[in-house]
This record gives sequence, C-alpha cells and structure tokens, in this order.
Amino acid sequence: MNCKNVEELLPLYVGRDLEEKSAAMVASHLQSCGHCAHSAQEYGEANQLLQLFEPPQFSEATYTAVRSRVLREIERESHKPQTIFALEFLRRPFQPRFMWAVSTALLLAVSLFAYYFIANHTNGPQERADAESRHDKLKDLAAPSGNDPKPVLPGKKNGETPGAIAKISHKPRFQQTAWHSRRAGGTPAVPVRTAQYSTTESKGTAPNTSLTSEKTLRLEMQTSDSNIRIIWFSHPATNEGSPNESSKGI
Amino acid sequence: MLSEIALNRNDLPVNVLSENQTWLQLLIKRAVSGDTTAFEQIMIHSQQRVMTLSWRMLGNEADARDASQEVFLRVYKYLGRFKQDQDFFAWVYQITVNVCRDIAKKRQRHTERFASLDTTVEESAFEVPALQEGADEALIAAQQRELIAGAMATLPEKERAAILLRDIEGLPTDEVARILRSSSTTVRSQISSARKKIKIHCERHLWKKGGTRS
Repeated sequence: MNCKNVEELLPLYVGRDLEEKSAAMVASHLQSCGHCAHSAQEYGEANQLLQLFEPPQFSEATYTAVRSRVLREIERESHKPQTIFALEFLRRPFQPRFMWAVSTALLLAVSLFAYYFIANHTNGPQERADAESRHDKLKDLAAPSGNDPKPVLPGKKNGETPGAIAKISHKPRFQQTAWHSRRAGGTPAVPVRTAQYSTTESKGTAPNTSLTSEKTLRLEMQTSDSNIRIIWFSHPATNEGSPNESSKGI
Repeated sequence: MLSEIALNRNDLPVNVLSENQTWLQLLIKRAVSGDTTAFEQIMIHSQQRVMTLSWRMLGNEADARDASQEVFLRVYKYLGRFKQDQDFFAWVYQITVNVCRDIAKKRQRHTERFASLDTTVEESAFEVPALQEGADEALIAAQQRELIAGAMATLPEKERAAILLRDIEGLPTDEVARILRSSSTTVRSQISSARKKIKIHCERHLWKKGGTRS
C-alpha cells in the first residue's frame, strides 16, 4: 500500500470507519511513513476541533417557549372545526406534489394515446400502399407484353382480344411463398411467389369447348429470373377425377 | 399509577431515557391516544437533542427554534406511525434532518449567516499569533469554535448532516445511513469527503498561519 492509497483511506481510518483488514494495512504503513503519520495526526486534531462545534447554551425559557408554541398549535389543531378539515381536504388536490403526480400521469396517458394513434394511422396506409404495389406488379405480370412467354387466354364472350386476362380479382391474394430449386443438388435458391387469380369465362384454347363457361383457376409463379414465369391453369372439369388437379401448364 | 410514576421522572438524563425504552414506549402510547401531558414529557426529554442538531444544521438560534417547533409538531402528527422496535431518537433525528433541510431550502438564510461567520473566522485567524503569549484560553476556544463553524459552513448539506450525525452525535454509520435514507457506502464517502474538507480548512486558517494546535 503506497502513500497515495493511504491518503485516500486516512479520513475513514481516523474515524474507525475502515474494515479491520484495511485498517491494519494503513496502521502498518503509518509506522513506516512519517508523512502519512503526520497527515493522520492532523486528521485527528481536526476531529477534536469538530467536537467544539457546540451551540450556545439555550436557556430554559427558550425550551419552554418552544414547547408552549407546540402545545398551543396542537390544541388549536384539535379544535379546528370540521369545515376547515373539509377545506383542507378540498385543497389537497391542488397541493404541488399532488399536481405534479397528476400532471405526470396525464402526460404519460396522452403520450401513450398519441403513440398508438400514430402507429395505427401510419400502418394502415402503408399496408394499403403495399397491397396496391403488389397488385400493380401482378397486373404487370399478367399483362401480355413483348416476348414474355405468357399464355394466351381466351377473351371474354363479348369478343375481347384473346390473350388478355378477362378479369383479375381486385385484391390478389398471395397464398404461399415457396422455394424453387433450380439446381440438381436441390439447394433452395430461388424464391417463387405464387398467386391465384379467378378468371371469368374463357374459351378458345381450352380443348374442351364445353368448359368455356367454367371458371378457370390461374396459378402464376414468378421466379427470380424475370424471363422465367410459370403459369398454371386449372379447369375444374378437365380431369374427371378431381377438379383440383391441374390441367395445363405453360 | 405507572403513568403517574412515569410523569414524575422528569429529571432523568437523556442517556438514561434511551436505555429505558419501556418507559418511553408508555409515554408514546399515551401521546398517541391524545395525552398532551405525555407528549410534553417526550418533548422535554428530546428537546436538547433536537435544538442542538437544528442549530448545527442551520447555524443560528432563531432557525433552530423554528425547526424544533416544526419537528415536535411532526413528531406529534406522525407518532402513530412510529414502530415500537425502532429507536425513537433516531426517528426524531430523521425528522429533524428533514425539517432542517426544508427550512434551509425555504429561507436560504443560513448560507449568508455562515458566510458572515466564515468571514469573522478568517479575520480572527489572522489575529491568533498575537494571542499566543498570555493567551486567554477561553478566547482561543471561541476562535476555534468559530473556525470549525466556518469549516462546517463550507460543507454541502448532505455531507454536513452525515458528519454531524457520525462524528458529533456518535451514531454508527449504518444508523446515519438509515436516518439520511441513504446507503452506508454513500454515507462513508460523504463522511470521508467532509473530513478532508475540514482538515484542509483547518490547515488554511489555523495551522499554516501559526495558530494554536490542540
């Protein structure tokens, strides 16, 4: 233990506020260090001076006056009319401490309300915007353009151009996100999104013309490669066994 | 009968009362039930401690009187909350410290008073060498009291309360921590800091100027 450490501990050492182990180490150091021993002596003298911090001798009259005032106050309080107590009770809510507590509680409540309001308000439009953007993307995917290997679907009965999808449900609903493996090893590589569309009456390309009035299920999967798109059409009555089985793949 | 005997024990010194908890508990019970005579006895046996601590905290008699009055009013008001297993005088000290803090905050007068006292101490410290020969011991003692009062005035409020309770009232550190509603470590740190400052103050104003060393 060096002098610097001892100097830090001396104020507690002289007041016997140190643990035994530390006190023994300080005492050992003081025996060998005159400078620290002198400092310890000064602390002791300062402590002796502190004992002189005495108030003047208060007279008995002073004490009596204090007691009398206290007893008078107690007497006055005990005879306070009930109306004053009621006034005190009414006045209590306006005391500073109470007012602070109420203000803090109100501030917290308003903050929480504002947080939830803003959170809900911002999430709604965001979700709508996301849905619309998804819808637009799918629309783009569905629309025939350029060299895209899109299926040519029969148009509507009223003679629209074949190839145009007669109707896309207003809100395309993503059913699942699958992993399409393009590698032999089967490593999942390309996320494929699938969407389901309900088309209205279709005709022409279907081998069975009697099914033109049936609803066609279109299942479209977009791979990460924009040139590769997998679209499945399903006619419920194409397969006699199960209506859910796919009938055509493009 | 027992209560009458108790009320006749007015001349018992305070340290004897602290040992006789049963007698004090009896007075407290009676005071809680509204017996003002019993409460007056409690005041008589604790007034010196309260006044002295108030004076040491606030630095003047007028404030100490006001503080004592407020302390006893609070003691009477909250006596019902006092637990019998507690040390009554530690509880009173706690109230006293709180009241003195409130008064110091409200009035802010004690700082100026201590400051003026500090000036006096500084002036008198220069005169100490002249008093060495044929010194009047009482006068030197008075100067030393002023010096230590000036040193106490330099301390922050919390350090002053901690060192008053620990070094002057002689309470254990844990008890001081309980009264000040603080931890023992914090109190030890405050006490250490206060002792350093007092020593430095003494060095500056007394020892290095060739003043008296006790």
